[in-house]
Amino acid sequence: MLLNDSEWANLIERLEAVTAKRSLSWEEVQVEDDSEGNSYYRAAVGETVYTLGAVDGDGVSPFFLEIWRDGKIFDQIQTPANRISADDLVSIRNGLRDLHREVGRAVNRAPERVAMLMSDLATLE
Amino acid sequence: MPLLDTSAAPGWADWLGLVLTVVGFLVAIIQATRARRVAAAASEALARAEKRLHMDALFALPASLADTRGELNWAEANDDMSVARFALLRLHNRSSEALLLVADDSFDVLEQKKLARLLRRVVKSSLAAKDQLADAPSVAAAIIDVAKDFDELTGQLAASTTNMRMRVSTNASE
Repeated sequence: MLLNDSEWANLIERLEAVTAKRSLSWEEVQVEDDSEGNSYYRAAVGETVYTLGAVDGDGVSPFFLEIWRDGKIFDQIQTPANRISADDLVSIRNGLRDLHREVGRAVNRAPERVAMLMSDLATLE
Repeated sequence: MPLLDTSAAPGWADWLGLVLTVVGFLVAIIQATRARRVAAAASEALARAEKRLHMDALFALPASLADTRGELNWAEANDDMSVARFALLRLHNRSSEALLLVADDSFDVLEQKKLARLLRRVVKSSLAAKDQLADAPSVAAAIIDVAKDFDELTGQLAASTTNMRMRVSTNASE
C-alpha cells in the first residue's frame, strides 16, 4: 500500500467534494463477461484513473476504490473489515460509502431528475 | 409439339411410376408420424425430468437455508464480520434463486404468495444487513431484522414443502 490511512481519508474526501460540485465526471462501466450485469464507476483525471464499486457487485458495502496510472494499479483500498475506531479508518469507511452514494447520484443525474419531478408536481394544485 | 399429349394412353411404366409415387408418399407419412411421436415422447420425458429436478431443488431448499443460518449463528456468536458477510451474500443469492423455484405449480397458490413475500423480504434484509455490517456495533446488531425474516421464512418453507410432498405422493398413488 502506497497511501497511508490519513492520505486515503483525505483523497476520498476530496473526490467526494469535486464529485458533488460536478467538477469530476464519472461513468458507469459494465464488467466484461459478467452475466449478472455488475458494474463499477470510473473517472479520469489527467493520467490517473479512479475506479469505484461494490466489492461483491451488489451495490452495498464493502466498497473499493482503486487508483490506476499508466494502465497499472497504483493503489487500492476497501471498506475496512473491522470495527477499529481510529479516526482515519472511520473516515475511510464513511467516506467510501458517501463517495459511492454521491457518484451514483451524479452518474444517474439524480438532482436533475428530482428537479424535473418537483417541476411536474408544481403544475398540480 | 403440344405441351400435354392427351391422346397417348398410359403404359405399364406410367402405372408403375404412379404406384411407386403413392408408396413413397405413404412411407414418408408413416416416417413423419413416427418421428412426431418420438419427439413428443422425448419432450414429455424432458418435461418430467425438469419437474423432478425442480422439486428436488425445492425439497433441498430448507436444508440449504439452514446451513446458511448456521453460518450466521457462528458469525453472530464470534462477532466475525467476514463470515457474516459471506453468509449474508449466500443467503441473498439462495433466496433470490428460491424466488424462481416457488413459482412451481405444485404449491398451493396461497403458499406461493406467502413464500414469495417472505423470500423477497429476506433478499432485501440480507442485503441491508450486509451494508450495515461495518457500521453496526456488532454482527448481532446488524442481523436482527434479517434473522427475524429468515426464521419466519424457514417456518413457512418447512410447512409448504411438507404440504407439497404430501400432494405429490397423493398424486403418485392415485
